[in-house]
Amino acid sequence: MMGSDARDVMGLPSAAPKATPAKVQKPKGRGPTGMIREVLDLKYEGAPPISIVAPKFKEKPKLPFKPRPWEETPFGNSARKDGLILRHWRRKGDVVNGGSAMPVTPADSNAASEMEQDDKATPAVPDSYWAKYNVKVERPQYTDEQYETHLKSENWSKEETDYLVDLATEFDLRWIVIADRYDYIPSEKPKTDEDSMAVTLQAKPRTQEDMKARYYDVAAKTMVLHNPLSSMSSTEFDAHEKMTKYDPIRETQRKRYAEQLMHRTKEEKDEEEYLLRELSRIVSSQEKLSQERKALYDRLEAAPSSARAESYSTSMHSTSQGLTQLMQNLLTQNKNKELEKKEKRRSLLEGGETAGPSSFHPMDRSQRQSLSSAPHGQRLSDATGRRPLTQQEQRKYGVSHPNERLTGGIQFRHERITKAGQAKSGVQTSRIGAALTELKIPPRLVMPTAKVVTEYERLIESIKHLLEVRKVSEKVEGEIKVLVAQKEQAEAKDRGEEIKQEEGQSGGLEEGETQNEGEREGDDNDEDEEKDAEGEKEDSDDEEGGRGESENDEDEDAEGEVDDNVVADEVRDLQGDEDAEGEEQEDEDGEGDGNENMEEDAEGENEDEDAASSRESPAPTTKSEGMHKRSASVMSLVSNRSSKRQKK
Amino acid sequence: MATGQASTKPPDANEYGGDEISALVLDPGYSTVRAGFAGEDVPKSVVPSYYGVIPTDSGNKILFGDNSIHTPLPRISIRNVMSKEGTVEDWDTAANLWEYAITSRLTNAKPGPLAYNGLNDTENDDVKMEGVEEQEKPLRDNPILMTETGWNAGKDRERGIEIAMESWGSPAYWLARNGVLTSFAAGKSSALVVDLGASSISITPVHDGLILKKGVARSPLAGNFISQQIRLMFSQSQPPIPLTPHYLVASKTPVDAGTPSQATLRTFAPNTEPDHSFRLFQEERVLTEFKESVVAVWPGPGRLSGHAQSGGTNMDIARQHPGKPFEMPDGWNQMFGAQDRYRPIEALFDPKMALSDADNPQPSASQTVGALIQSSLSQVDVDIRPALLAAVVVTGGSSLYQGFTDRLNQELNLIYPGVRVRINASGNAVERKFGSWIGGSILASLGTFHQMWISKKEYDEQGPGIIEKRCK
Repeated sequence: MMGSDARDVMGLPSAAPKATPAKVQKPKGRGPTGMIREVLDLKYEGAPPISIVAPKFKEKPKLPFKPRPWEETPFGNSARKDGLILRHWRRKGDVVNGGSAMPVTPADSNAASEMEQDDKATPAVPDSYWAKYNVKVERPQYTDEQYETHLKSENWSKEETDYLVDLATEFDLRWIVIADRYDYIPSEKPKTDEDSMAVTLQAKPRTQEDMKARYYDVAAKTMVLHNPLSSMSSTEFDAHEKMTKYDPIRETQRKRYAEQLMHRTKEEKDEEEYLLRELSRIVSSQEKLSQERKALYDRLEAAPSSARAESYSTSMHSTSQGLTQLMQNLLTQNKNKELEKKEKRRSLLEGGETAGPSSFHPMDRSQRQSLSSAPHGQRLSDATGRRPLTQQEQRKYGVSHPNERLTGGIQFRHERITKAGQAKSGVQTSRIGAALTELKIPPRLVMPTAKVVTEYERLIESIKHLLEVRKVSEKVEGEIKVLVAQKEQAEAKDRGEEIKQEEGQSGGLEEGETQNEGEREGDDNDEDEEKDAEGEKEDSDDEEGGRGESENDEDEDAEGEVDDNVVADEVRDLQGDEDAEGEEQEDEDGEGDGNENMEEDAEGENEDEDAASSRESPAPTTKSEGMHKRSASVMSLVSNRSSKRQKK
Repeated sequence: MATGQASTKPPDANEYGGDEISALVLDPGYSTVRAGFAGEDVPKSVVPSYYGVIPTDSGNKILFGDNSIHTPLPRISIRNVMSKEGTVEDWDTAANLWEYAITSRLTNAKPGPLAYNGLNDTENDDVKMEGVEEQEKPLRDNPILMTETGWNAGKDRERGIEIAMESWGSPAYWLARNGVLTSFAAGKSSALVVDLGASSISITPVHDGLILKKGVARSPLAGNFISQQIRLMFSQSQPPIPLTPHYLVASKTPVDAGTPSQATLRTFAPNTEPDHSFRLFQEERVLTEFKESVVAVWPGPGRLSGHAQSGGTNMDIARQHPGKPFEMPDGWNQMFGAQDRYRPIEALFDPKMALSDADNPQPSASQTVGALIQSSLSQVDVDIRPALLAAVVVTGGSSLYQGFTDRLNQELNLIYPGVRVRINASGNAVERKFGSWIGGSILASLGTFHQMWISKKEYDEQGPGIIEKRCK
């Protein structure tokens, strides 16, 4: 088209005659493929791109298969006894989902309508897929004789039993339905006369429980009749067990409760819900509590082993003391953390009741108690709205309200047990141990209740006291010995220098001795009264202790009593001795009164003696002196004090 | 194409347990008869249980179906095949009505074999006439499942199978309780079915697909009772509200609210006017419209006659609720206040609120829905009571009042505060109205139901008494 226009413009002869053959040839020399149609049109004069399409119907789709028609297929059902043949639509050639074919017997074929008679031509109709779901309950089977011998019941006639078993089979043991439909009408018995008939015609009202009990009884017995217990399978045996254990009375009771439950009021229901919620909360917190406790114990037990790994000397943890020390260390380490946590928890608790499951760590409790054991503790706990503990509970948990400040830090109560038997030095500890073994008290208490431990502590205290007194007495004895030795030496010297008066010596010695003693007593003259008072106080203390013990013993067990009696005896002995000493002292005091004028000399001598005793080794002990150990020790106490004072 | 191909495949029977055998389901009620094929989701044929009777010289002419009975034919009177109890009263007419319901829409009169169609008859061809009769029976291909009420008993149960087997030639038959079917329709095998029909409310406890007969409770405070309440409300209001059915109105002009209508009424030639029963039936249609558009259930809390927590009576609070306008066929119209909207149905919960006159005594307290449920449950084993209360299925056309299920829930929670009450009511009006039919449709299309049918052979052997043995 455009080519001819150009020719017109340029006045060239028209190429129109040539165009027709070109058009015809067009399919031949279409030119290079892949060119755009418009460009090709420039080169070859082409017809306008109009396609004329004749209207026609959409073609039938070509399916890769032949359509299969549906047909109404008859089928039977083996679960039915009457051979009913129904029809459903199935595709031709489909495999019948039932699979097995059911033969149609002549009896079946004349069964129902014409339609089925037509089907007589087909020798077999397929069985229904659903026939297999026809499951029935096994019916307890029994004969008349079996009933007479085994199943007879006063309450149930055979007819009614049969009726019940039929009904149970009919409704597949749906007891609720059975009880609903149970409507036994006793049949007339030909042999009974009119009067008894009137009685028997009255059907007994049966509850569901009665029926169940009867049925289970019958079923269990027939089970055994057909299959003795010994040859039953486990499932059969279980079923038998269940049936024999049925208790109608309990069932009725349960139903009564269930009915009561249904008629709860809204308030009751709410309360119950609340209680259940509380219970679950408590249970969960208990779990948490025990977990935390376990964690703590694990930690405490794991510590020594880890210490070993860190090349500690394990010997320090091998004793209970060491362990306690370690525990203390660990606790102080965690104390800050725990305290923080506790504070947080408490603020939560106090902030709102909705704190949810909050657990009380045992640690927390002991801490809180040690806190509340401060004088203002009671008030504090009241202010927080917590329930104040009763006397009994306070005793149980070891809550105390002492007036003076306690030693700081957290302590386990069990520490008291081990702590009591320990002294500052190892020597003394072993001595206490020895004393305890002498008293036949085990080093670890058998029953360390709070009371027993208190008594134990008191005992240890008195043992300590005894040991101390003994120590002092030994010291004084030593001193006496030294002094005696010195005196002897001095006398020997005197003897060596002046051998004039041999006879007067012995008297002089005696004089000197008494003098010596008198001097010493004289020194303490001002203190004597005080000393006596002290001694008395000690006595009274001990007496009190003894009394207290004997009083407490009444509630303690026998073992404790025996032990404590021994202690009391010991204490009493001690008291007696000290009393005796006191008497001695008084006597001596009386002696000393007359020797006031010799005060100064005695002082000087005393000092000399001290110096001598320190300088010279103690003289060998004599047996006779050991007898007066105790009295001497008291005296030495006195002398020690006086000497100290003099030094000042 | 591939997808189209897939859609022609039937769903695998194992998926839903279905195996259809073109069974029919027939669910007769006081208001309508529902019929359709099993496996479908709605009944194809819904026919009124009312029928028209026109007396003629050669006996009564009987008319079935909506199209006939609403026409004011000369001397037409309207009757119902059902009794007020909800059971069939007039069996002969009922059989015809049901046959009409089935054949008019579901099965056509099939052409018989050409040999027997009468065109090729010769004079001496009487031999095979019996076979012809057999062929012409309307339901010879379709097993039929019929429903009955929970309290249907005795001979009434046997009439159905007689009709189906003998006059319809059905190959198989089954009779099911409509309460059970409703619970199946709700997808439950155990339920407490509360059915509010036209003639009666019924409570049916269902356990494992079987009704508990002792627990069945019913009362007449249903749709017809509410209509009666509305009639009383109209007649007792000042001035009385006129009730003119559609067929009487020849022409009308619009009037203002509350003013008397300006309508010309239709007149009938003497001796051709319809019976009074026809007028009542037509008035009922107006009342149905009123019930559907105006009447509602007091939403609570408490009862309409009670006192509100904030002080004042609930009646006062109800007065503040919005009203609804309603126009009668003759043009009379008025705004009905909320207290009027709540009033007619309140008697279902509170018998003291019922309107009454000499002919319509006040219902007793034991007839209310709550009392019925209570008495029903008291007859049922205590173990399943909570389970039943957790599956209360509400069905029936009269349960479609606005706010009914909520109110029922409130009432039950008041009666049983300690038990969890769950009301299961379909939001779909069709499912609510045809609940028992749908359940029947499900049941009859199940593959496992094949073994349940009572076959013609069994009927022939054991007679109609087989119903008592099989359909428990």
